[in-house]
Amino acid sequence: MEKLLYQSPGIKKYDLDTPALMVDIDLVDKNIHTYHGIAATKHVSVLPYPSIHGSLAITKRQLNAVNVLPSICCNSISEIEAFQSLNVSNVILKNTPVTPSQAKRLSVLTKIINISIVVTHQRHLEILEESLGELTTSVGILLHVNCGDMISGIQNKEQLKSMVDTIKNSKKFDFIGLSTEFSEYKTYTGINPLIDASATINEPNDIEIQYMRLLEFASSVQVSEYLSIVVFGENNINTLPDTNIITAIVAGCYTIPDINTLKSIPQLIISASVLSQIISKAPSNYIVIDSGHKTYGTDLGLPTIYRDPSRPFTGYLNPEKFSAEHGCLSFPAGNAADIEIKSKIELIPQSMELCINQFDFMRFITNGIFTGYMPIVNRGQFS
Amino acid sequence: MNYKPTIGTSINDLNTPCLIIDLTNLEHNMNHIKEFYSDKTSKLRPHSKNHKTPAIAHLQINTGGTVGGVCASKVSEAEVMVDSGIKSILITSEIVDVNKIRRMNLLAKRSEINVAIDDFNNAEEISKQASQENVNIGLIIEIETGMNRCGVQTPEMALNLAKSIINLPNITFKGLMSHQTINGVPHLEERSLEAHKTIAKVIESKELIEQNNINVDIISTGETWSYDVAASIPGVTEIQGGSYLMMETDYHYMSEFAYSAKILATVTETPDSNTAILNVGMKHISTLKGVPIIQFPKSCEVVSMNTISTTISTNGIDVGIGDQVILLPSQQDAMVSRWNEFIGVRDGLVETIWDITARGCIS
Repeated sequence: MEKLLYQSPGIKKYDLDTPALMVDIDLVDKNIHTYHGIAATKHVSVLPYPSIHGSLAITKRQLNAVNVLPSICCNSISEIEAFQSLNVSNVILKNTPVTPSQAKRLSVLTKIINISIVVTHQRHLEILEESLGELTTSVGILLHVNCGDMISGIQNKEQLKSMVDTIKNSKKFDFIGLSTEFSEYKTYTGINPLIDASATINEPNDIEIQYMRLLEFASSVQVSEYLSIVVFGENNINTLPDTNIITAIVAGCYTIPDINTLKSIPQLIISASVLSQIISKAPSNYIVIDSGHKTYGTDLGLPTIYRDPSRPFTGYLNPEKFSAEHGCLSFPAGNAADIEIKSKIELIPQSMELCINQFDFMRFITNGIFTGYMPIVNRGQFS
Repeated sequence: MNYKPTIGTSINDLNTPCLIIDLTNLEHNMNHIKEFYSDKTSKLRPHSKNHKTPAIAHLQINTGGTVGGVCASKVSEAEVMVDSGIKSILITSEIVDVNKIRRMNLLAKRSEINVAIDDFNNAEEISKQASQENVNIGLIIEIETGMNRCGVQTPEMALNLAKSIINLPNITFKGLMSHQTINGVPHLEERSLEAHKTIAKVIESKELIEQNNINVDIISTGETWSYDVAASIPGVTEIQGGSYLMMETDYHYMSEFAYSAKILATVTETPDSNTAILNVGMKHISTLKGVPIIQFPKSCEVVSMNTISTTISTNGIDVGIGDQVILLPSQQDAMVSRWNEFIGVRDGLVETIWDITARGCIS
């Protein structure tokens, strides 16, 4: 784990050792205000999803904003444990535990936190029923339906009805509603095209079609006003229909948007970046920075350079290739003269979720000054 | 309090996803290195960037076949290794930042520190800082041999840089290093040819510098794909090897090494009879060199991945919700850095847990 022995708050951000994950908390607040405002126009609340950013401090800001549910969504049981100190009234667990030992861990947690579980399969209910033991309170179940062409989720209304019946016949479960994930793109055939250059990205899915399917699922089980409809796929916020059926959208990346989110929601501003340092000008056509795949998590694409007007060279550098430890940025012929070794440069990750998991700490920045370390509490908390 | 398995837990009962390390295979790989280098003049300098775990670094050194020290890719990684008692470190990235140079120089009070350079101003800064700390830093000139990354481009440039730095105070010019890759599935002859071709530039640089009466004590080069052939090149003193230890599918042709680091995942959904979804994704396994291969059950293949799940084709194998799946990474050091601990298993039981102490140490 990174040791924090060498730099104290108060220094300028460009004096930070690199690579450094920098978060401007004032800009985070602006993004929260913006996103929650957009959600309000769509008549949906925001359900904070700290799995994406891993920060207690940012989650608290989300929870303190307007138009928010007093709950969080976590990907794993370990994450719920990591976020316990938030003392939220309810936690939604996105990934159903499917082994008895994990279900038992969950059972322990239900004694101190209200937990609702996203379930996609009848077998999940059976495993939970067998493993949850003698609960003093029941756990909430959100049934996850497939409204687009995602692979995951309950595929048809018959399956859904059968699972609702199972829930209603169990003393351990409460049926609290439906969840779904609105996809941005149609399901890829073969390997993810963002990895395999030979594949092509399909057209964006039509949100209206996915929403109509959600309506059909909801009407088939008579989802009443007392039940929740929770939607994943925060980047679709602008294209959601103005509606009352969706209770909440699960969202986290909008606080510190990555390139994907910035493209989908142009109202957001850059609030987080990674500071890297130029360590070599030896190649004739590249400059080399001290950060590569193990910093940016480039599985979904290379980072993008933040074009800083006060640093002209950032205007013409372009990410070309990233290995595990290094990144190579190309420049037009003859333009390297004003680039100095030791210069620092900010880049925005293609996927903030993958980048965040490379770090132990965020560096909070205010007005260009480093103000403190914030731990990424869910880093490596996968099971 | 987060979950950790107890010693003796069956692999079947582990909470997933988790990073397991097969201790028998790990020891096999270390023993192979010990035996291979037993009669060689060059030795392995294991790269700690691959495992980021001092406990493993000490096992590598104690097993044998090594120079008695490790490579580290970053200062923060070197700090963890020095804190654990390792006495010789080669930092394989250029360290140009004044604060990081100061941190590196402080390490030289407790360990031998060598570092890659390709620029005179950088060497001068290291010298200046080392003088203030009253330590000596070994400088290793990096030669560019095909990565198109760091490193001086020609033997003449290496000579000029060596000449310019030898009289700087509190540094010692120690030698040269290089790093190169090979594509595809090369046979021994191809690996030998490629290693000789790329490392020839380093040897040429060494000879040129020595012709100018400057000692070149260290030639640090090679990697897993060339651990054997580079050792046969006269002049090479140490081989930088990392991937051999845990192995990755990108090196599947190196059949003398066994896969030791693996991801244990669980089937969470079976949308149809030929498809299963796993509770593991890009957040857990790097796809830097391609998607992982499924070791168990055999015949299954990865179809697509997102950040937290993977869809696989079962190809007729009967796979159900709750079943375990073992995945092999295409590139393991970019996978290991995403985890907090290795769960060491032998004969299907948990034997130890190693914290990945240098996780997050990327500065």
